[in-house]
Amino acid sequence: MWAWFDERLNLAPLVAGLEANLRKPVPAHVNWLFTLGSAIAALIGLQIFTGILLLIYYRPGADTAYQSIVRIMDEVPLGGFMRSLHVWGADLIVIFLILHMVRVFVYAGYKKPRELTWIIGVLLFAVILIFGFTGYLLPWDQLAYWGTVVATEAPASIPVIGPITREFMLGGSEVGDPTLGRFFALHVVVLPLVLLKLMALHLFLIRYQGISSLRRTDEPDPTPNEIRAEGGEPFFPHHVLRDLTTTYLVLGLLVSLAILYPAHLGDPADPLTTPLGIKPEWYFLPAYQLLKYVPEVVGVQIPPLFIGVLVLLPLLLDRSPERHPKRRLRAIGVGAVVLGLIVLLGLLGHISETRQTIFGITYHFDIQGMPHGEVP
Amino acid sequence: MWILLALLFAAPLFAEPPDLEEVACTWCHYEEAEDFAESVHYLQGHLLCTDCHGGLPFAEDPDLAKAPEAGFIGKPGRADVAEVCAQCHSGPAGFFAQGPHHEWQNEANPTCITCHSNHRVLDASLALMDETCSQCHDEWSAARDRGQKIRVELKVGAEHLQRVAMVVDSLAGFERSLQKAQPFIEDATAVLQSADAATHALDVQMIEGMVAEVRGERGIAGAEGVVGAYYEKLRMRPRIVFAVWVFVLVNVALFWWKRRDLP
Repeated sequence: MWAWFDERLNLAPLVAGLEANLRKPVPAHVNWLFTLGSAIAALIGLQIFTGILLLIYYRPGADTAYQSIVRIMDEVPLGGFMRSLHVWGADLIVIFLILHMVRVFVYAGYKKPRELTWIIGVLLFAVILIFGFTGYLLPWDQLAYWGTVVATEAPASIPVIGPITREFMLGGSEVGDPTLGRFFALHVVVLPLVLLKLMALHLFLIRYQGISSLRRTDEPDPTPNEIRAEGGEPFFPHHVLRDLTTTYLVLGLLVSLAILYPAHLGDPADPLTTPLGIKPEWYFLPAYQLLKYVPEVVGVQIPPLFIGVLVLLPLLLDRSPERHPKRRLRAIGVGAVVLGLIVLLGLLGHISETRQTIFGITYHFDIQGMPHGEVP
Repeated sequence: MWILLALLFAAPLFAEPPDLEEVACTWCHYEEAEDFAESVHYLQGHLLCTDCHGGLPFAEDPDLAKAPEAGFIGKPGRADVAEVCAQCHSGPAGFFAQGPHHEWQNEANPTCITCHSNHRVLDASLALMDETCSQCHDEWSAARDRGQKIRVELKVGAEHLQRVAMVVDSLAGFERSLQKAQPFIEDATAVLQSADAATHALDVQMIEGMVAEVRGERGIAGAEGVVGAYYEKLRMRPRIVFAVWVFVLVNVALFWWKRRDLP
């Protein structure tokens, strides 16, 4: 069989090249933190699998979507489990994506000559967030509907283009059947195509350029022999076994979450009844909270600007030649402050408009997340 | 169109019971009116004297108010009481006709008002059975025993249904699969309501049969089955997760072992 194909396609040089690439060593500093990317790839693979299964029974449309989800959960064998895997999978992808980006930032993997890999990675991050945003609406329950209503109101505050953008997004002036159609088409056709292409390019660049060393950018990258001499191990099978270990642990975590905390489905969407405590998905909470502190027209532009800053990070903002974390303490400090602010905003968003009991005292957290003590 | 408009304007009138002082009957029959003002017929049903006695409630002229043409029947005789009550309560009246008191023409037997009173009609409850049976029957008599059995049977059945309904209500908010228990609860409630009406037949076997139906597969047992399946699922979850982690950790150990042996 192999000979038949080789005779026609002359595969031997291609396989030899792939094998050589796979055996290429990774630098000695590569540790467990460098396995997050493959865990994300596995999670995305599983999302595609569970997504296809859900797609078999899901019926987009304001009249059919909710009932089809009920059917998936109640009648389709393992349907509820597949949906839970899909919902939790989306959350884990965002969590591990953030950790992966922090790791790349700390080890300065985005510096010359790997700027393109980073930029594509940031675009992947944006695509994943849009995946989450569009997927959130599809169950067409109260939370999905009103979460989308709230989230799509903010862009309308931008002068001139805001209302037009919102209407284009929604397919009308309100969230409705055309919105669901748009989000569905984006979620299952457009975004997967974009994601897979970007992923392919991202992975190709990583394999083609190899893992970044800790040398300064004005020094030449170490050769494979130098990497081996410094204690680097072959990518295959050494690092792949490490990747597999992390992937198994992450998938174990995902399956456990999906079994122990199955995805919830609320009441069907009702445009006439606004439920209390509508909040977006946790990864949009920082942006949601930010809008409470700054004028809407400013706040709504900050998240896209932040993505822009991430894209420009290796090109304009962090051009020092140092890669070693110990010699980039200032950059890492700035990164930590920014990340801390984002996490703080997210926590404030999560806790705002709730009551929490801390050390026996009940506090009411107002819309800005500020606590007000109450009589215990 | 006119009917719709009339209903629209009349709607507020039905929100509160009509003022009894405006009802001409009460100007003379004030003692009856006092009793009636506390009755479930007035407070919940918003009925007036004329719903049972006929006539015109707001006509100030007694001759006009009590004209036979206006359907005035006055005080129903012993023979007519069941018929008057059956206008609205046909179910209980039907069961009453099957029971030991069905010979209502016999002075020794009770009519509807013997137990339920005539003007101060209170919400019927199982406690009423104990109170009213004792008017005629000795404490240790077979008749009291029969009433007691029916009362206990219905009370225990109703409490059982209430417990299951509370569990379903409290859990269904976050576990949607428990909504499947709702039709069973509704069916059981409907049977229990018809059993309330059936108490008028004073047939222990019939009530036992109906309560058995309340407890059956199409009632409480069905709902408990749904709740039980949910709890079973809850019990199974950690076991499945344990098995998943055994699989994961065995594989991780194999990877580790394989990696350790690499050159």
